[in-house]
Amino acid sequence: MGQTTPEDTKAVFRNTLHAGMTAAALSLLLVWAVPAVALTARALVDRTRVGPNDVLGLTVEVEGGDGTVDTSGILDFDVQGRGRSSSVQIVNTHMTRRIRYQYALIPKRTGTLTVPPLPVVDGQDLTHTDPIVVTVAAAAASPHRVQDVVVEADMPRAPLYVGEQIGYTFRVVAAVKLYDASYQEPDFDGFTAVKLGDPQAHTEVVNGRRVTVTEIVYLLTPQRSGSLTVGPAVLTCQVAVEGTRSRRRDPLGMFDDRFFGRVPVTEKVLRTRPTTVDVLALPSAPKGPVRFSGLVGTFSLSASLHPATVSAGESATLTLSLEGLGNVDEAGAPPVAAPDGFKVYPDHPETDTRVTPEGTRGTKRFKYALVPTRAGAFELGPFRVVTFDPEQGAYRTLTAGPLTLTASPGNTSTAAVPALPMGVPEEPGPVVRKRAVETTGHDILDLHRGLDALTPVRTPETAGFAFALALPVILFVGFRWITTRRRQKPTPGERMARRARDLLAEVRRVGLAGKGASLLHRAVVSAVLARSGREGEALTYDEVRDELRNTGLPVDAIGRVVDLLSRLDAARYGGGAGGTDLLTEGEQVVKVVLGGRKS
Amino acid sequence: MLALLLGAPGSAPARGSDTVSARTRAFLDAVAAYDRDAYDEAAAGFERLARAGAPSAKLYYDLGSSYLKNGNLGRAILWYERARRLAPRDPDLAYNLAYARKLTVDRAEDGGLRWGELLFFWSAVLGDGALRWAAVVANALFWGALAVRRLRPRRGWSYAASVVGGLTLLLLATVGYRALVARHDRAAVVVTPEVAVRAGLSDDTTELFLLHAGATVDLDRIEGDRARIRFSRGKIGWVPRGAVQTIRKVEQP
Repeated sequence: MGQTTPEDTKAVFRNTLHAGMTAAALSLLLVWAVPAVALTARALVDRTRVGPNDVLGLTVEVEGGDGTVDTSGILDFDVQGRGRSSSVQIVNTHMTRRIRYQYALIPKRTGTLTVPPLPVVDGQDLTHTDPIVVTVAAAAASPHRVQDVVVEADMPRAPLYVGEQIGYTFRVVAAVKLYDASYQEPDFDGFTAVKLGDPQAHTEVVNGRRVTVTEIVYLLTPQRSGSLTVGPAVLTCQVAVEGTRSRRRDPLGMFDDRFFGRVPVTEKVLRTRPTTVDVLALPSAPKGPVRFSGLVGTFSLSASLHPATVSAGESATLTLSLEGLGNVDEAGAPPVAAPDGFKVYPDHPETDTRVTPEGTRGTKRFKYALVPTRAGAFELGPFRVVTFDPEQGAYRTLTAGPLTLTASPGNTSTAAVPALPMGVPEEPGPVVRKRAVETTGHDILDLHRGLDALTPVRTPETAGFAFALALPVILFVGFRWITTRRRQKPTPGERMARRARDLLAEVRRVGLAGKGASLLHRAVVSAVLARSGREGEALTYDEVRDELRNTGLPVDAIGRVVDLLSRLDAARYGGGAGGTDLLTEGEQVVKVVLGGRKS
Repeated sequence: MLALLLGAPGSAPARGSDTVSARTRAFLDAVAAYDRDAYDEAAAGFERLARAGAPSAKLYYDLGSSYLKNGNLGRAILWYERARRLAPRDPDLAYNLAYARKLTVDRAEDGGLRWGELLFFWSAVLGDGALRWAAVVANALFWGALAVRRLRPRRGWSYAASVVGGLTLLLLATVGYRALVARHDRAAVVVTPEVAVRAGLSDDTTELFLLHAGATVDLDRIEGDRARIRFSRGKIGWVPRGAVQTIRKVEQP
């Protein structure tokens, strides 16, 4: 077996590249070669005669583009999208792409209905489908009888009061099997709705036919007065089409199940009629020491005390029980008045209720631990609760008690502790039913009347905006440059250049007499060293020449420098001061040697 | 100096007390007309001020309210929308505009997902001016934090610079997005009670659909006295030019 050589690898890469480029070119050619097809669309329905509960299938086929179908113009039907599919067909080198949009149309009424021309848009292209006329018969036109599936809504129609609980029952009566059933709750606008458990089903015999009755029950409580409407409940399901079963192929009927895909079905959408009830506002509550508790229904109130005789300092339990049918679970603790000398400890209320189609039924108990702090016989109550009875249409005052508690002398060491205010209810004050704030008027808000309305909105213009953005950047860059410069340590050359200048300044100040010549000599040497970029103190004439030659100073300038140094040595060691021309010559030489270097 | 540079052009410089008081008088007259229910007179007064001066959200709001009270729903929504672009968070404006939109006949249709609005979902909270000012301040704070960090190289200043830098980038990107949107803003409002949208440039062509006052459309292009508008993905056509007015551009007299 041979090994793969670099040449083989290159060949593979080259071939792959060629194959890819060829495929891309062919694809492009194919795309360009296909002539552009104009956008066309057509609408198809599965039938043109249906019943009021039948679902019509609509298909819109689009060719020549992706197309977007606008179904908003279909006013006679409720439209539900059911997806899209696409296919490609090649005939005699012509490639056609077709997209199908599917919809379910549910007729809104009987009679002659129309699916209007539907606009289909693809970019700049626009086309329309042809209109379709559909007849929706009052009697079922489908081979399936309407009575096989019936939906009903059951609700009391008598006027109600706000807060009065009533039951709403949605019922499906089916004589045939239903598949893929889905249920849409009605709109309970204006009510609070509590669903009572899961749907309950049972079978009955109606007109000789066995039917399955399925019920969903709600407990409704109207929250406002007026005419309130419970919208339709909607059941969508699929029903087997009768008479399509082939007994010869399946004599046992074992495989006549949709699971096996052998039972044709038809889709149905069934709605209940909307139900409207009049809800009356509660009359004005009676005035008195006890306010309306917010309870609507039929109730009774009882009170008990156990034990009725205690020693001072021992506790007795007062129990107030509110029982009945209505919003008993919303009851607050009844107000209780007790004489002085009692300590009161309220307990959590106990609720024992169940929700029924007629309302919430049960009992709510309020318990208090009472501790008399002195001996005596004490009267507790009577206890009163004001409720509203919708059957009588009037308020009722429920009364329980009074009860007598006898306290014998006993351990009253804690009697000095003042009693808590008796009758601390679960909530401070009586329970007041809250209700939604209703809108009573519609209008726009007032003008802006201040003269600031004439003040224009100040929006930064683009140039000013850009400048405002750039300014901090510019300042930061400058700041950074300054701080960088300050942090840098001077180089040896810079130090020597600074020394040369400082020495020159000193010579100017003291003159050439005395040590001035030495200072000037050092300044010239420092300038030479600065030019070389190194530090030092003394240089011979040859070293000066070498340094200056290596740094590119012209020959005549080098000679000038060496000559000056020689003259300065003579002045230093010869005892002469030298002339001012030496100082002038020294300044010029230093300037030439430094060549503009900054210290 | 910065404020002068950032000031909006077109702000009418005070040319003298006569000019200022004339605008004030005109404004107060318009308010008085509104109070005595002369809404057409109030609208005319406010509109003269709006077209003659620099943009003012409150003035546009008053003009929209006058038109609405006068029953001209299309122009009311037009001027409310113009005010909304200047002051997107004005609660009174939001309320009145919502009120006016409830009176429109045509149901708005979904124009599809707009990625810009999704990515910059916060951009509608601030007006253009406030957004730019915020970007300028954040940018200055960022570079200031960097400068302080250079003097005192501590992690806290690095973190602060990072946070402010991120905020600055976000604000600048939002400003850029808003500028892009404004540049391509072709939104317009139907100002006539009803307009037939047709397939072509003349009244002889097929009527495709009807639009009513207050409907918001996109203005595609103009040819002669006709404008091509787009109401939704499936509804495009031609209308008389005078039936729609663009929101962004306030025509000067």
